[in-house]
Amino acid sequence: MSRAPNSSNAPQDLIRAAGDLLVLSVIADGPLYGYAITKHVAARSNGSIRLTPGALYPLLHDMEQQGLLLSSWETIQAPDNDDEPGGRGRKRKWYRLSAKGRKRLSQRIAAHRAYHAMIESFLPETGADGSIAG
Amino acid sequence: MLLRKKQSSKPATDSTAEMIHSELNAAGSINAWLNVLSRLLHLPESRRQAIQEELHEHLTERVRDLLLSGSSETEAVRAAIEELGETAQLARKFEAANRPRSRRILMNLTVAAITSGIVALGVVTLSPSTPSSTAHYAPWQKAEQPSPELANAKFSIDADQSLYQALEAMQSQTKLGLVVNWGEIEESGNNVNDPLGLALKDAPLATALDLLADGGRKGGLPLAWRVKDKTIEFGMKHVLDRREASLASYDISEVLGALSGNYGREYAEAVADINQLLTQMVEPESWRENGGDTATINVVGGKMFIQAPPRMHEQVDWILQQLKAGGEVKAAADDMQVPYLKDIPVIDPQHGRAEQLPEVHRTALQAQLNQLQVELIAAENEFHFAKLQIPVNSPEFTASEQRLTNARAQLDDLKKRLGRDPTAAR
Repeated sequence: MSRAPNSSNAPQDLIRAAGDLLVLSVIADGPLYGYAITKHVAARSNGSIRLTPGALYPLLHDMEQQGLLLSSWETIQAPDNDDEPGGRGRKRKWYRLSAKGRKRLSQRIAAHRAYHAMIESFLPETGADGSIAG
Repeated sequence: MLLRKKQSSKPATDSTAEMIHSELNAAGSINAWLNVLSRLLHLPESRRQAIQEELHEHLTERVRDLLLSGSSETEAVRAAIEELGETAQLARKFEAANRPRSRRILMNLTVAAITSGIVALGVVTLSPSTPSSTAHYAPWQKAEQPSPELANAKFSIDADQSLYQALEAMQSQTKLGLVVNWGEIEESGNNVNDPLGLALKDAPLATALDLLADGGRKGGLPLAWRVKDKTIEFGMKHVLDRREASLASYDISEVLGALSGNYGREYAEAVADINQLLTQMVEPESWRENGGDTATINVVGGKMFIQAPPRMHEQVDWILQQLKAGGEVKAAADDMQVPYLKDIPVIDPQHGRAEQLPEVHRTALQAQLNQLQVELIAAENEFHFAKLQIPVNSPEFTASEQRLTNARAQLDDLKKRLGRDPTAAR
């Protein structure tokens, strides 16, 4: 079974630190619910990044408390629930960026790029195989 | 898309029927685990229930995907729950994340004050514990009369003085009391020790305070001031606002009736119009709906409930009076675009367009919807594995993605016709 090549060798702790940046970025494209966020992140990272739900949901709640995300509930009725009064629809919680969330995202992007550029300026040239010359 | 039982209108395929059967059994295990988690959560009932609902949806979808990928029911449920981590630890994380923001800031401030001693509290007199009805607000309406102690007081500072020095000088010059939570101001990103570059000579106190609130904001959150009982309180705008926020109900049945009668707006549209008008015209950044944390708005039936500082209530009241008074403003409300409210997924399908469809069409569309949902599950699953197994640039991947897009588009189109899901277009 062949897997798509890993585009990222980023260590897990760096990815963990950028969890909020990843989540804000995928939600910036449009409203999403929790499970869809995990799928989007996996898809966009070519399967390299898996947001565990145990980290994702508390993070979403935290960002909602900070006012970065707004949420609303969608009731998903079971297909023929209408003729069964006892039938209970599932509820799906959708998240979308607030104005404050958009601002935070742009700040995080700028900070991330500045950090990346700063570290990059220290790094020596590497060969095609990643080895350091000299 | 989880099918709780067999569809009556169209038979499911054999594999789908098996999946439905497995999901029904899995549901019991999921509920049992959720009950355990709920008992570990030290949160209000409403929050516990919301967490349960959200994780129920997650686990249901995850188990469905795992079943489709060939896992047994037992394996699927176990794997899905294990992915959430250790239950007690998860409960702690949810508790921390759901703690009210203001309480967390307060806790951080307390810790900072105790451990490092860097929080300088320039408290000269203690603040009364409850806001008094004579509170004087930083002017939203310029016509507001200044209180006598403000009207007569004058204030002078040099340009090289910082916010800290300026307020100390103000206290000694005016002999008014001064309450400042410096820790809170610094915590919110404002530098209180930089020179303000603000030179004042015998300036009226209200003007000076406005300038200090404006000029003292060095890159942080907005500052504000209040004067009451011969005491100046200087602090974070959102903190002062939140403390003064009061709940009021407004009867909007007349306005709703006018929008409906004169402009043919349905109830939900009229509510959205009013909601948008208020949250865009009255201090937009303060509304929770816009990412703020000072004001909230909710409409139930013909009543609108608003929690907000008094000056916002005044503006809300004025706008509603205009809507009742008629003519121009009503038309303006009618023409409003609702860019962000349209993004909200349907909460109450009762107000959707579903009720307007003839029953026979509705039944036929519902049957079609059921079938499309089954097809979407298959397409989603196929694409899920395509992402893991097929190179992104290959034609197979593109074809799989296209099938999923088509399935979603068909389903979304149908949902829109059923009026169940106005956000389905995304």
